[in-house]
Amino acid sequence: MSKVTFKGIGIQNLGPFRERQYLDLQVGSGRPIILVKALNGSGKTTLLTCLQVVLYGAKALGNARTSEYEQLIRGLHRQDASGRARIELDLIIETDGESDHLTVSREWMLGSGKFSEQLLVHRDGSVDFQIGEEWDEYLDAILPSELVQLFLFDGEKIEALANPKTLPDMLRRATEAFLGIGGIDSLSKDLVAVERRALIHAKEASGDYESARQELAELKRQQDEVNGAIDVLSSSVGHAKILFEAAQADYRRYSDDARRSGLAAFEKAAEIRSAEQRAREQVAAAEAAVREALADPYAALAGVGTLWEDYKALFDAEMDAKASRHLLSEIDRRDRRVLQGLKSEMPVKSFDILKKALAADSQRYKKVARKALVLADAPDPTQLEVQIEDGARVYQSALAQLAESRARLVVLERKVAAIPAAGQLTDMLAQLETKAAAQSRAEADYASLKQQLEDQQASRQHLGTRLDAAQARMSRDFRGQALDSKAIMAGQRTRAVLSIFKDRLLASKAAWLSKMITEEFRALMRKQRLVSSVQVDPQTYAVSIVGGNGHELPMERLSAGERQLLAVAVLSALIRERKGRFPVVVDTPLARLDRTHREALIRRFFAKVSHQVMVLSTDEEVEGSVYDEMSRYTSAAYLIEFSDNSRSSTVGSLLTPVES
Amino acid sequence: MNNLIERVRLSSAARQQLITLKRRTGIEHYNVICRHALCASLANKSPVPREKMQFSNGLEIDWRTFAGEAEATYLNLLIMRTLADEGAASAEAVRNTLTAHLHRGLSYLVSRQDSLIA
Repeated sequence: MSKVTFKGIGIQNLGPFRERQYLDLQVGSGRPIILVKALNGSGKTTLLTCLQVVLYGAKALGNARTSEYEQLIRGLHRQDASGRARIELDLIIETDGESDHLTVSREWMLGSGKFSEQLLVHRDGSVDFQIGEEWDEYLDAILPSELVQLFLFDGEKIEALANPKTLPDMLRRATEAFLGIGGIDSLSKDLVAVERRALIHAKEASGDYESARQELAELKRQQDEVNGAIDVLSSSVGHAKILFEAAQADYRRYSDDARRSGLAAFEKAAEIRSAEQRAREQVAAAEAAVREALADPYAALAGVGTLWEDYKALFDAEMDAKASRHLLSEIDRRDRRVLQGLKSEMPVKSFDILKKALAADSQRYKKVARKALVLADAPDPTQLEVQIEDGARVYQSALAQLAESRARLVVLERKVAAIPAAGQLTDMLAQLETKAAAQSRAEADYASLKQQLEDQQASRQHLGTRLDAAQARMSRDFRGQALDSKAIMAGQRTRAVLSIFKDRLLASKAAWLSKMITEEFRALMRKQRLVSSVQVDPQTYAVSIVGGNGHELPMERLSAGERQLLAVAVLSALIRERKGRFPVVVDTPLARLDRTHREALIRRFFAKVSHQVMVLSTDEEVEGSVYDEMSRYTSAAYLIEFSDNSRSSTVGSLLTPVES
Repeated sequence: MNNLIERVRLSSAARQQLITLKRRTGIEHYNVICRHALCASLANKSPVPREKMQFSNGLEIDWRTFAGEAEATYLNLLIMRTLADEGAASAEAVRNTLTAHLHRGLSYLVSRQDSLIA
C-alpha cells in the first residue's frame, strides 16, 4: 500500500483563480492539518474540485458522462484568461520505502467548440510518458476513484451521512467501495449484459430452434413408427411366404395326381381330337396321293410282268425292221439313181454286174425289212420305262406315307378313346379350382405384404436421410443456441454467487464497522453515557444506536450536531479501514457543530485521521478556541480572498501559530 | 390300227366287281381300276379261258378313256399277248384278249384283300 502526500497545488484560470495560485501543502509530523480559510464563493469548493479533477479527470464526477465533465471544465474556465486553464498537483508517493516525486498536471484548450485536455505527469522534474499514459490505472491502484469520495468530502456529505434515512445506503456504498465491491457490481452488470444479449439472441433463434427441434422430434417419431412397421411386416411376410409355398405345393400335388388320372387327356381332349382329325385328314390325303399315283396311265404298266420284256424285244425288232425298210428304200433309190447315172457310162456287162451286186447287198436288209409289223405306233417302251419306274416309285412312296399316316391315326384314335368323360372329372376339377384359387390368394397376400415391406424400407431410407440432414442442421445452426443457453445459465449462477458473496462480504464487514464506528463515536461524543454502541445491521446496513441502558436509541434523539459527529465517526471508521494512507480533504465540516464538539472533532478526527488533512473552512467555523485547538495540529494556514476589483481570488498565507 | 378297239364291254359280274373295287379302294374312275386289273392279268402267263360272257347289265368303257395317254402301248401289249396266246392278232382276237384279261384281272383284284391300296 502506498502513502500519498500532496506537496502543493497550483491552479490558474479556473473558477475564481485567474493568475496561478499555488498552495504549499507540505506537513510536518504531528501537524497534519493544512487550514484553508475562505468565504463562500472565494474558491473553496473550486479548490476541492480542482484537486479531484487533477487527480481523476472525468472520473472525479463518478459515473458522469464526458459531456458533463466538459461542461464542468467549461464552466470553470475563465473567459478573461490569457493562457490556458491549468491545474497541477505535486505529490509524493511512497511505496515500500521508495519515494516518487510526481507532478500531475492537466490543462485545457477551449477553442471554438473543441474541448481538449492534456494530461502530463512529471517525475523528478521530467515528463514520464509511461505513467502519464497509465495514470488512471496507476492512481486506481493507490486509491480508486470510488473511494476518493470518502477522502475528499464536504459538509453536505456529512449531512447526508447524518441522515438516518440515507446513512445506511451511503454506509453500504462506502463499504462497498472500500471492499472493492464495485468490481463485483460491474462484473454482475457485465453478466447481465451477456445474459440479455444471449436472451435476445435465444429469443430470436428460439422460434427457429423450436421448429427445428420439433421437426427433428417428428422425424424421430416417424422413424420409430416405420421401424415398428418394418418389424411387424418382416414377420408377416415370412409367414405369408410359408403359407403361399404350402398352397403352391398342395395344388401341384393335387394337379399331378389329377393328371395321372386322365385329367391331362381331358384337358387335351380338344387337342387330341383335332390331332386325330388331322391324322385322319392326312390319311385321306395319303390315300388320295396313292390313288393319284395309281391313276397315272403308265403306272399300271409296272405290273405287267415279263410281258413287258417281250414287248420291248418285239418293239426293238420292229424298229429295226422299220429302219431297214426305210434304209432299203433309200438304198434302192440311190441304187437307181446311181445306176441311172451309170447306165450310159458303163458297159452293159459291168452295169449288170453292178446292178446284181447292189441287189445282192440289199438282200441283207430285205430279210429284216420283210418282217411283218404287228405293233401299233407307240412310244419306245425302253424310254417309257423311266416314266413307269418314276410312277412306280411315286406309288411306293405314297403307299409308305399312307402306312405311316394310318399308324399315326391309330395311335391318336386310341388316345381319343382314352379321353375320360366330363362327368367323371367334375369333382376333380372343382377341387383343382378351389386349390388354384387358394394358391392365388396366398400369392397375392404374399406379394402385397412384400410390397408394403419394400415401401416401408424405402420410407425408412428416406427418413434416415432427412433425419441426418435435420440433425446436422440442428448442431450446425443451433450450436450457438446451446452456448447461449449455457451462457445465460452460467451468468445467472455467477450473478447469484456474486450476490451472495457480496452480501456475505458486507455482512462480515458490518461487525467490524460497528466496532470501529462505536469507538470513534464514543470518542467524539460529549455524552459518553448516551451511547453504548453503534450497530450496523449486516443485512440492511441500517445503523442503530444502542443507548447506555442497552435499548435502541432512535437517531432523532441525537441532535443535529451529534448526528454529524456520527457521520464523521462513520467516515473515520471507513478511512481507517484503508490501511494505506491518503490525504483527507474536508470542506466546511464544522458548521453544525458546537464548539465543544468542534474541538472534539479536531482532536479526535482531524488530528488523527490521516498524515495530511486539508481543512477548508469558512471564516466563522474556525475561530477562537477552535482555531487554537486546530493550530496545535496545523502545519500551514491560508486565506483565499476574492477581490471584486480583479474579480479573482488570491491565496495568501495566514501566519501559523508556530510562527506567530 | 388306230381304231382297232373302240370300247371294252364288261359283264354284269365284272361290273359288280368294279363297283366293289371302287368302294374298297376309293379310286374314283373305273378306267384306273381297269388298267390295273388288265395289267395284273397280263402279268400272268397262263392263258385265259375264252368264256362266253353275258354283257347285259354290264358296263361299257370307252377304249381311249380306258387307255388314256398310253393307248398305243396298251394296244401293243394286247397285240403281243394275242399273238402269244392265239398265234394271230386279228382285230377281233385282240378285242377278245382285252375283254378276257380285263375280266380275269378284276377277279384277281377283288380276291386280293390288300389290292392296290394297302
